[in-house]
Amino acid sequence: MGSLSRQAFFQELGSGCLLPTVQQGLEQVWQLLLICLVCRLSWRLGLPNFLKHLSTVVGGFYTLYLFFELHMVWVVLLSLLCYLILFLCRHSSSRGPFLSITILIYLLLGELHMMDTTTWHKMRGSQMVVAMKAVSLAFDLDKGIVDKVPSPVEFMGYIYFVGTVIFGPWISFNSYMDAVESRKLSVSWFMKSVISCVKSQLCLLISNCVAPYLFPYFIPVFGNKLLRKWLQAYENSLSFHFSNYFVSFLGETTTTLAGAGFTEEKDNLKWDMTIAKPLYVEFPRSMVEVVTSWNLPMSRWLNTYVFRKALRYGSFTAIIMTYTASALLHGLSFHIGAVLLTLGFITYIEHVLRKRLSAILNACVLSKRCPSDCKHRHKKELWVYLINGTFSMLALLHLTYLGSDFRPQDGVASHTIQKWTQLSWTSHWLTFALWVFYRLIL
Amino acid sequence: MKRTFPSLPLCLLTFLLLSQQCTGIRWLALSQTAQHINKTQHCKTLPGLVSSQAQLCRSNLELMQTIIQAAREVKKVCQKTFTDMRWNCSSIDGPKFLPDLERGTRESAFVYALSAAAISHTIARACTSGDLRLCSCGPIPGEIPEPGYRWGGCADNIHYGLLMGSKFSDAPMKMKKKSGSHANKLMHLHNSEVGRQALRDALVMKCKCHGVSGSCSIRTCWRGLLDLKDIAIDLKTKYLSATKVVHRPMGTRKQLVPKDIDIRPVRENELVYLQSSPDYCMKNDKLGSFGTQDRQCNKTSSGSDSCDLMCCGRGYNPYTERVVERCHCKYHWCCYVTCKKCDKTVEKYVCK
Repeated sequence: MGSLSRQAFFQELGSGCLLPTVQQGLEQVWQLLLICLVCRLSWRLGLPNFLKHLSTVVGGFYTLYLFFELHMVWVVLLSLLCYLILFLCRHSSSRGPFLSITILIYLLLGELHMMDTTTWHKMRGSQMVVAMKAVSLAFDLDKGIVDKVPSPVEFMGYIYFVGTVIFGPWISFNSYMDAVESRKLSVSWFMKSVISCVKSQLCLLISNCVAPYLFPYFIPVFGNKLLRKWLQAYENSLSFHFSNYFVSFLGETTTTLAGAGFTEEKDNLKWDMTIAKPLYVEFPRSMVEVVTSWNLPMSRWLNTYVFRKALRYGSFTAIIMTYTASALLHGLSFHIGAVLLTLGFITYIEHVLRKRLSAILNACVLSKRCPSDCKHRHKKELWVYLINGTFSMLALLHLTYLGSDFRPQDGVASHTIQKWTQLSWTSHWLTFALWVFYRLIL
Repeated sequence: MKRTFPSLPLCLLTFLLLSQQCTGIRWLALSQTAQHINKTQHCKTLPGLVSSQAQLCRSNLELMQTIIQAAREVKKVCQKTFTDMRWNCSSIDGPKFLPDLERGTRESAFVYALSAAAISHTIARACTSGDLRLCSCGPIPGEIPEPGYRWGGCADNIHYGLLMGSKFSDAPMKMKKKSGSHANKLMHLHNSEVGRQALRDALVMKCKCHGVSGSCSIRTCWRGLLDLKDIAIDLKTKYLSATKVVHRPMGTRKQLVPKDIDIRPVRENELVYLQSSPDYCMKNDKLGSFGTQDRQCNKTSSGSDSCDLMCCGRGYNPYTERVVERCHCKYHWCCYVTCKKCDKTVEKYVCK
């Protein structure tokens, strides 16, 4: 591509990529946004709650049909199955685990037997959100956070809430019931929706039109054969990142537009839903920070319903189980499973190493930023910054390595292995080296 | 008897002239045209055109500048792509083409394919940039590859490029006069189509999925940026695996079929040739070989540009050369790069 002059490239980019991308980006989501808005406005009419739930079910069904057409039956089937289990187990105190296993079986059957890969791949996101909602509701019922099994229309309203049914994110049942109360329309609500929408389109443009051509057109770094591989891996990685941010900001838009995604403190209402923190991923302090900043609601879900429950088996086991659960929610993709498992090991080893270094050096070098009142002796020394900077560089390298292989609809195992071989299994070796170092200073 | 005797050489001369006219890539001579074509009278003076091409020139005057540009691109890209081979496209310098391109060798197969791709590519690009006003944005294709797949941008530039490009470059092969070998015509038409197919493949829309955790709820597509060099590299791969064919009766008409392999039809994406190539080691005007004497070679390489292979075992001579290179480049925000100039002495090798 280097032989195309820069000026010709940018001309071509404008007409060949920027315009089509914006056009398609809006074309495919304007109906969803409109339905969210209509739903929000209708809830402000003072309808009885029954009709509010019903209206969002209708909106949700129509939206699912818009995106998945008749294949939406699989999502519907999953939700009906979930409600059936909840109802049949309404007197049990183990609804959470039982429902989790049922959903797992359903997803595995779907992945392996029920339909072709392409179709299943399209709906995976929605299936994941439905599964997360149902599981969280079941566990909350077990703990008494939700005091009784919701009525069918309430349950379906929660599952098919038009603001979250396609692009997520997961919200708790109580958050949904809060949203049904329907807060006043306000400038801050509208501005939040618009800003998130603009951000999502911006991220889409970066994902499609900037990241793939970052070197040498946007940043004139050419590099030799070896560096070229890593630069290309970084481009792929960045493109995947911004695709995720696009979906996250779109989820923020639809959720806010539909009336959820706020926090309330003493009559002070804030429309502050945040799904992803791009800056924390692109300029990471640690892999732990990356993992939580990638999708905050999902992080909360995994922490609440998987990690804490698995902690009784030990922290390492809990971490691995958390990443396994995450992989299963994403479907039986070897690639995603491999990436998440690798990510689990990387995160765990970095965490324990930094914890150990923090204790030995009495310094602020933990995976997470220290609060201002921590008791470490060394906080602002140059060598503290150097250590943290080194781990940041490592995180960037890991992100490039792990993200280098994300392509649409690519589920072939050999491709992942091939890609990692091209990059000399660098992250795996580095992680192993850090683990050895950790054992040495134990 | 004396009356009929002088007419014999005249008949032979006429036959040869007609034969020469059937070579389909003579239009590549346009690469050396300096004048700007803005009058229909200029069409008559252009080198290398057959009558139907001249006719196209007169009715599509605006197109000719683009076609001249295409001819220049073919020469440049071809020579760059084959820098590391003994045959390095040095014979693409019309109007006097050397015998290797006229005899239906593997090399001519590559040149025909690249020419067909280049002319369509250049026309399509001229449409995109607005240099050509003839092309219009056609209706969006009716067939949708899959649900949720939507077109963006103008989809028809490449279609126009392929249409006009094939009209022009295939014109010599479709002349109705019974001159030139039918086998040659079939071969050239086939190879030209291979070139256009390579262009089509390179232009497949790029698509990306977006959805929760990488699922495919939304799919956006855009036209991939492309360069003729990439197509040339693809065609070079096909050149290296080209198939020798013979003209053989099949059914009621003669077809080209592979010569050495068991009976099968020629594949749509493989280049074909009728005559084997010389080894291009020694200069041989009769065969169209320039030879590799004084060609630069790579001492450390083990590929086709290595000194052993390039020089055909004759050996090589080293020499030193002072090269001025850019060094200490710095990027200035935003957005340009400045470099200093450094002198450097490098050792190079040429074949004996």
